[in-house]
Amino acid sequence: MIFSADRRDYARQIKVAAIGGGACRALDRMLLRWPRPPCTVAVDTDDRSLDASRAAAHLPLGGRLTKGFGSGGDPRVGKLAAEESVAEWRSICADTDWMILLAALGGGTGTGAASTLARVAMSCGTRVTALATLPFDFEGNERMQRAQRGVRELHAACDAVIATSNSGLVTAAGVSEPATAAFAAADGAVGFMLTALCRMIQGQGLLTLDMPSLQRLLGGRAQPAAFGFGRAEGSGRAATALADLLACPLLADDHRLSHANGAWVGILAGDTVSFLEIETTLVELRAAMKPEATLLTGVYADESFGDEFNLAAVTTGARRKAEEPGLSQLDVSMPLSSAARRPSATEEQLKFDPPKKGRFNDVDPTIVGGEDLDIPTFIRRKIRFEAAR
Amino acid sequence: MRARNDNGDTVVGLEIGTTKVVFMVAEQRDDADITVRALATHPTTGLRKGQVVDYESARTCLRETLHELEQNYSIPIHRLFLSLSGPHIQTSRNRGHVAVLNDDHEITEEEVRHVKQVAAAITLPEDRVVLHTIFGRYRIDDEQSVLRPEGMEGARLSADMLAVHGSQTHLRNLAKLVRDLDLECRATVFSGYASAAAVVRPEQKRSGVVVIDLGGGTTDYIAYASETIAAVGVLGVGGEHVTNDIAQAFGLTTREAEHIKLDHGSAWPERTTKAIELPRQYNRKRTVPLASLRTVIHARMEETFGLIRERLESEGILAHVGAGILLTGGGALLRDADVLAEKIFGKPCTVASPWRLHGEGMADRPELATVAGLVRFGLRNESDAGRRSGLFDWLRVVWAGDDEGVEQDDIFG
Ligand SMILES: Nc1nc2c(ncn2[C@@H]2O[C@H](COP(=O)(O)OP(=O)(O)OP(=O)(O)O)[C@@H](O)[C@H]2O)c(=O)[nH]1
Ligand SMILES: Nc1ncnc2c1ncn2[C@@H]1O[C@H](COP(=O)(O)OP(=O)(O)OP(=O)(O)O)[C@@H](O)[C@H]1O
Ligand SMILES: [Mg+2]
Ligand SMILES: [Mg+2]
Repeated sequence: MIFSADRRDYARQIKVAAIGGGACRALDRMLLRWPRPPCTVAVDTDDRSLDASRAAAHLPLGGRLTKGFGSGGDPRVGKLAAEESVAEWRSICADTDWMILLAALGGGTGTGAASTLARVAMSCGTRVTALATLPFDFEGNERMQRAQRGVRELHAACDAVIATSNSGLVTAAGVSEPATAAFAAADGAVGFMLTALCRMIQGQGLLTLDMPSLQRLLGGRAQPAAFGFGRAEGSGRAATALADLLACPLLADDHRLSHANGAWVGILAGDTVSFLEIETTLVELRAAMKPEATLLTGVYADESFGDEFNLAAVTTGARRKAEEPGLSQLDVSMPLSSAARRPSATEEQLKFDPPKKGRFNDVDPTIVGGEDLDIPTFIRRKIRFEAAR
Repeated sequence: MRARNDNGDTVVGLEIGTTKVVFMVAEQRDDADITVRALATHPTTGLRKGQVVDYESARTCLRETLHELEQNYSIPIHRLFLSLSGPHIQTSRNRGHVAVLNDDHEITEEEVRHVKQVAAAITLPEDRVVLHTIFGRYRIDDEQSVLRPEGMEGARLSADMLAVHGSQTHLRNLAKLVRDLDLECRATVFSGYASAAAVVRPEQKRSGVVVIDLGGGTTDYIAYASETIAAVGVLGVGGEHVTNDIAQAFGLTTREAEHIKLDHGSAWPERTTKAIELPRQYNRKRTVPLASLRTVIHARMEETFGLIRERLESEGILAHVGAGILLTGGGALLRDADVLAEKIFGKPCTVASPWRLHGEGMADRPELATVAGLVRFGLRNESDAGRRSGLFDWLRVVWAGDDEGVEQDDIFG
């Protein structure tokens, strides 16, 4: 008897999807220097970009709508294209535990499609983290505003968003000319962050990171998280890298390590890294942060890093307050969520202070479709009623 | 004390629920009905959303409940069937194929056994443990869909399998609780599955039905359609969320909120100017408007049912449940829960209690559905236990359709 089984590949629990041309190019540059990458997917309305991509899977968006010619810089077209291709996307999301969306915001496809794709992935029970870049300053105001709208939509649609600016990346990397080098520098930094996170989550390090902890760190924040890095080699490399990280221009204001409410810091170093270097770095990091801040750490050592000592950090600000606009208030047309979940226009808004979870404050949250179901339904739906007397 | 009764005619079920721990000892009556011999129940401590959060206090609570059971039932117990739930429960589907290579292409038991093996061979991450592998329909040559392919002809036989799996950590902790009582766990059953075994009647199963167990910390559901189990799931939301919403809405303690939920709660919103008086606090009179209470409860219940409806709809199952919805678990006692469910699912909906279960105070007890299903399951399986002894690795029950297991129909008596 001959038999075969359609087995799903459960080993591939993490997927990285690049949405739009810029993100696909960035992903390609990362793949050049990434020995054991997770499953990657290139997603675009533009056939040329997909044809050029090295990703393991390609998903053309909205073939009927865009005919493979791109979105023409219009996020509305990007969103409609994503809605057209929801079924294919959903099959990509099936059995994925963690989907990392990479989007270079500012154009039409990445900006318009990412939040829709995020929401569909969430509805498949996948954790979704978006890594988004904002345009270079020189690209002009209009692109920047479009990108910022995109970040807000993403923030409402994902478990967590890590956002950074292309200009900042280039400044931090210290290269700006020529333009191709600037893009490469930006991608290098994003790629470094992404590979660091994936390696830790895939358990490839000495000290790894589990998804629930990362989720707790990043989820439910009022603002997207930020990322930064510090690098050094040679003698005194650990201390130099740490000083570099603490001064990293990408981590501004509330996201500075000294101000952050939470951070994940990964050490990625050559295999000669010593226990003392690791310990000192972590102790000093802890001392640099607020005492009540959460600190998660990971260590990955590999000969490919040679003599380098790299630090990658994701930092988060305050938790989201209940009165901030949730997903339901943003102008997103998504056929997936039931009408019942949207508050009707006549219901007035109530003001509440902390997220009132009462007896569920200290247990693992029940997150469904991006909503924390432990928070009373009437608060999330902003239902008004007469109070107790 | 009487001697140890080990001939398999009584079995013990244990549900370690979020709000109550309950042991049930039951025996088979001649007519396939079940008689409850003893029952002991205690409010749970140390669990949230079906998962152990405080081991010591959960252990003490279990020990006390067991003592209480031993006072009503003098025969020492050794083995039991355990249910479990929690948001960590998930499902995976797989389809397996085999070629039918017999000369006449007749499908025999051999091919069926083989295709099940193939379909059941899925690889899950290391920290997942399979609780049930459920076989549904078979396909012959990718066309015809049948329930029993034996004796039919074809070149290729496929089987669809639904695996119900849970987190190893949570399972381990529950198993350890049972071991600490010096009891042996014969099998672990997903509580939604057990509840269905207690409340669904054969004709309902044939027409298609959805069973929703509204517990304290979790809501389990299981859907029967086209004479197979079409979907299984858990939402980490239950009656405690209703209570917590009330407490948060009106600034009450959990205990006060639970009381007014039980006394005045309803899932159906109502316009009324009535108010509920609460006991005075600091000599201050306190009242909660009844309409507000109903609004708060309605919002939560509507959301919970809505989420289940969305999931069933997205899998195209709802159109195939002719017998409607059965609500069970303690949360089904909430007034008008069935009325609201009927509106949301657009299907007839009833509150269901364990069926063919005899004994004092056993009527209309939806909160006993899980434990009643456990003993029903246990009685079916223990009756020919010898054949399978040793096979009941506590973690893994091949429930339905497996050559060693029982056919699905069996559990509905
Ligand atoms: N980091 C990085 N960013 C890039 C790159 N190329 C473009 N971008 C940025 O990505 C933004 C969006 O451009 P694209 O990704 O080309 O646009 P798109 O999402 O494909 O959308 P349309 O082409 O309009 O359909 C730009 O504003 C740039 O800031 C790149 O190679 N690397
Ligand atoms: N008359 C009633 N009206 C409203 N709710 C009720 C009523 N009776 C019980 N409940 C609720 O039912 C819930 C308990 O149900 P049940 O006993 O089935 O839960 P459990 O099995 O302990 O929990 P789980 O299955 O989630 O682990 C509690 O939240 C309780 O408030
Ligand atoms: Mg493009
Ligand atoms: Mg229960």
